[in-house]
Amino acid sequence: MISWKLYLHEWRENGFYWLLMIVGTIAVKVLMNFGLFPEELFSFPLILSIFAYGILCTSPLAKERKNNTIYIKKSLPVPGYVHLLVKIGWLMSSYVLYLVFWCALYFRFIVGEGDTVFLFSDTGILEAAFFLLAPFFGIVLMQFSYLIANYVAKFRSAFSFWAFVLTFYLVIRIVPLVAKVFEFLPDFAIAGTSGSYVSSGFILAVLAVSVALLFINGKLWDNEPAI
Amino acid sequence: MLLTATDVTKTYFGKPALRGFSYELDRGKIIGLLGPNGSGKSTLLKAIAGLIPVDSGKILVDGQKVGVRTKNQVAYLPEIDPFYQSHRVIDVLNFYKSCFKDFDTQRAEALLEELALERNQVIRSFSKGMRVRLKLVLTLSRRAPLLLLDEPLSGIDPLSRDTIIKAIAREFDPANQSIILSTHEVFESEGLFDEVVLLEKGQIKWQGHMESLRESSSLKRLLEEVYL
Repeated sequence: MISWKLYLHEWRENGFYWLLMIVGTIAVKVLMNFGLFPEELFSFPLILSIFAYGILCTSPLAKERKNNTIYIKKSLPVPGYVHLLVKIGWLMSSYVLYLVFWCALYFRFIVGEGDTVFLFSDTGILEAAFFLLAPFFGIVLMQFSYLIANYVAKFRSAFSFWAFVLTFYLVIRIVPLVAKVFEFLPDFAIAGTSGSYVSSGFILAVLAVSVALLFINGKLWDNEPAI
Repeated sequence: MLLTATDVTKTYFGKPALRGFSYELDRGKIIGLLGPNGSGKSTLLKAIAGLIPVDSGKILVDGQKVGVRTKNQVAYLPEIDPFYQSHRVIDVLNFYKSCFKDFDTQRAEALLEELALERNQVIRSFSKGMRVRLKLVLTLSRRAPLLLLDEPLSGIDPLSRDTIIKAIAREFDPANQSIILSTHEVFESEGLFDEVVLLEKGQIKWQGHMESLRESSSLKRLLEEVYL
């Protein structure tokens, strides 16, 4: 299974950053235990990790190009979208692992004393969809803005930024239209509200747009004009 | 035909690299791809390997349009160093073995020994010559029909060059393979070539057998102008 090998490869190449976040999170907890870090800021490592993962969305791609390892990746008999999906898989799975670790370390602060913990409420599908789909869409969009910039010779950063903004705007406009196709599907109730619902069509539309963008990214990867 | 290129054109952001390149290659030949810097040698090899798309024309490898499938038919040795620096030799070998079905581990082990590379050495500690030798081990260990070697002798001391040329000649399987080797070291590697293709500004300036090149004083002068 080449995909699995590539996934393990991602861990080997980028696992250091993940380990760094784990060590940082433990360090904050140790400082907290010694009273050197305010307990109210227990979510500080988590917020920091979100920023770190924002950078990691495209930096492994850029690193392949910078270190010329892209020559190896592009020589493999694997379509571009698989390479990108492997990177998304690593980002999401490593982040889930980090989240589990963070939750375990700061469990007392998250739930408080005497609280009951529900991993998923009665609208678990909605929560799971949000927590998986939002990062998936975000990573795919960032990969798109990075890859499309390789098609221009100059001003790549500016081009990448505007590609991100314009594509995001387009997706916002397209998703409601696609959602209408799935209108016949049941809605999800939002927890803690009476009578508020989210259309499952909306979730499916975001998923459809994200998958379409992933395949476009695959084509962009395969057809980069120069390496 | 193992390789068919028809009217291939490639530009890099407006700058032409290949201009109407056409060529056919069957099995059993070692082709010397010669030409000055910027003549389109590396671009041509990258396009055949499927690393970059061409603007127009078509390239077929074993009758198939260049793409994901043809990457199983082509073993490509890039000019630059493409390795993950933290990896050991054995890690790279295992990675290639898991990615390419035609990767011959026994052949790789034998080549490692011959080219004086150790399995547990970390690539970060490698000299330029060792990196080239490792690239060669990885490429020659594949039983792919078409081998593309982009400047395998560049920056290598004469003794190592000789070892590399001998290794290429010995591992070549004329019944099933062809090799395209681009180089600037024409006079050292000429014994290896069955045919030579001389590129200039993305076009074939001359092609033919090595013997005719040796016999033709005007062509020899041309090569000397380009390379010396």
